[in-house]
Amino acid sequence: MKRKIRVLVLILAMALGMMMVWNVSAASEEYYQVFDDADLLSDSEEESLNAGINNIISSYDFDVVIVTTNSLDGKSVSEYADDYYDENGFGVGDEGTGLLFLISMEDRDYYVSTHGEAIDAFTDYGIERMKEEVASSLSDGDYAGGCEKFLNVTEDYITAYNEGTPYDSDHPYQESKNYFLRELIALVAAVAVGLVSVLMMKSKMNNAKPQEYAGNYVKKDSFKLTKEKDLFMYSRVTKVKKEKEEKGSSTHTSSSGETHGGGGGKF
Amino acid sequence: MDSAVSYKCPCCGGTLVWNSKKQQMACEYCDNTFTEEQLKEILDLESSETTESEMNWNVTDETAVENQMEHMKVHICQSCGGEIVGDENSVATECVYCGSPSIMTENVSGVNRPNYIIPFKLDKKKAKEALKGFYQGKRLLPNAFSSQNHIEKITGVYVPFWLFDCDAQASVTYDATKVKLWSDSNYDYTRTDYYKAVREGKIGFEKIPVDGSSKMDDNYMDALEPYDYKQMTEFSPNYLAGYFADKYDVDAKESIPRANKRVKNSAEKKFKETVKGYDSVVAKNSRVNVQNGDANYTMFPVWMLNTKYEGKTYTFAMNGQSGKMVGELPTDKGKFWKYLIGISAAVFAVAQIAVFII
Repeated sequence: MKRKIRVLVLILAMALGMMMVWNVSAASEEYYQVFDDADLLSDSEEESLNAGINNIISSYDFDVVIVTTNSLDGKSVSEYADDYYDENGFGVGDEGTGLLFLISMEDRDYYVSTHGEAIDAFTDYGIERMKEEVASSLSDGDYAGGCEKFLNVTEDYITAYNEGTPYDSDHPYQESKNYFLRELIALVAAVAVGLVSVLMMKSKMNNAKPQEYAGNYVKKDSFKLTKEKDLFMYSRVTKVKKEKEEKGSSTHTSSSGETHGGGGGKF
Repeated sequence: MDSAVSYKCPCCGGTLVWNSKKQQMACEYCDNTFTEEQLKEILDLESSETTESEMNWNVTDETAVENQMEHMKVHICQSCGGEIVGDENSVATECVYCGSPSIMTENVSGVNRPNYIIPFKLDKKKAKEALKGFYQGKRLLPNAFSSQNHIEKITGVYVPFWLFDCDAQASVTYDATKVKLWSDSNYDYTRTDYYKAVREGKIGFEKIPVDGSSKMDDNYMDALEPYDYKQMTEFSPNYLAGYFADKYDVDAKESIPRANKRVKNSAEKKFKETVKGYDSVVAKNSRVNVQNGDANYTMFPVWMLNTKYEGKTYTFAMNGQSGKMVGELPTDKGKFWKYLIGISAAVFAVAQIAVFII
């Protein structure tokens, strides 16, 4: 009897343990990462964005947070975003890797605050480039769409970072190739080559050309210089400022002493 | 009182002031400094720049009676007015220049006798072969041209040439620059040093040929060069047997401008070659004086070939000594466009690789 109870307890304990493990793993699959304080998103949009974020967290170990607000409480956008991130303890791993996407309706700002490894994954170029992706949706009032694009770009940036070359000024992100212009240049060049070739053929058709020189009729040893003088007159120096390509990520320190990268803009 | 000479900066035209620190004249605007000596030299140079050239040729009209040939026949074309001379046995049936058969023949006396002649070395057969060879490699030639184009007339003509000898005295001023490029972390710099280079000297030319026939196309005759002067001999009427001769109707004096042009161009080119070590050299001023100019009346052998294609006459000339063929062939418009479109399309197709991969 005692033995039966023991086995039962053991089975119960195992079941409980399994349930606990299952519970924990279930909880870890569904972090709540969208804080729509300005109520710009519908419940279903929030859910969908949240699912996308959880997918990134589990796939790449990058924390992603989306925050909307009506008031910055007297702070700048960057301070507000940095503090929100630091004070709520976001971030994965020792470095607290992750980023926060803030939409503020106070002055219609958006801001991306990066921390830990995310600073290197999101270069100054990358953040500036992101503006092209998200700003127009936000301007149109399509906040869910803007956030969706933010998540897409984020996933691409992280992928490139994991592959060793984050998107930067020397490694552009999906620069849309201007095929029309390229084809136009190719066409002009092709016609130019064709025209030069045919005109060369055409010039062969007529070899009756006047002689402009008499170099063949120079009397032997008759060429003599009697005066040869080179006189330096003056110099002119011009200088042109170099165009510099900025690379990498710039950082700043938040009020809690944490190092953040990031940037944003108006919409 | 100091001398009241005020110098202008050769670079920017600003007034130069004495800089006691540098012990030189300095420009406040462009930061150049000059020594007094340097400024005088620059001024000297600029004031002596002229472009007048003196071309003195000791050329006279060649009408001396003892220099004339007797017993000649002149064949005058009633269509184009071209005149051609032959010895008393010569017969002309068609005009060498326009192919017209209406020829009037007269006995003439007093045809000027040339000093020298280069005799024919190549015969009629060689001229025909050379014309076939001339068609080779001409991609735009109409396909039917070579088969349907018949040689209507082929004539060996001694063409009158003036051979000009002269000594040229040249003085040329060049504007030259040296360019240096360098960079620091913030700027790209370009430093251009401006120089004036003066070259004076002499150069002699001998036997520059200029044709003395107004009927012969100048470009054709120029293009026949070069002739090998080693085979040039004293003139004898015997050389004319079986060939025609063209009478000169452009005398030596009238031919001088064409010789001058070539002397001037060649002298400038030759002198320019001595301005070395610069990144750019531009002739600013050039004066070429010709002295001891002389012209000799000579006859050069030319095969004239007249052909007809689709009702149009095409004329070719062959150097009767070297075999060099000169002429203008018709262009097939269809082939022109076919090649233009074909080559362009091929290049465009290859360029697609660049369009899509880069």
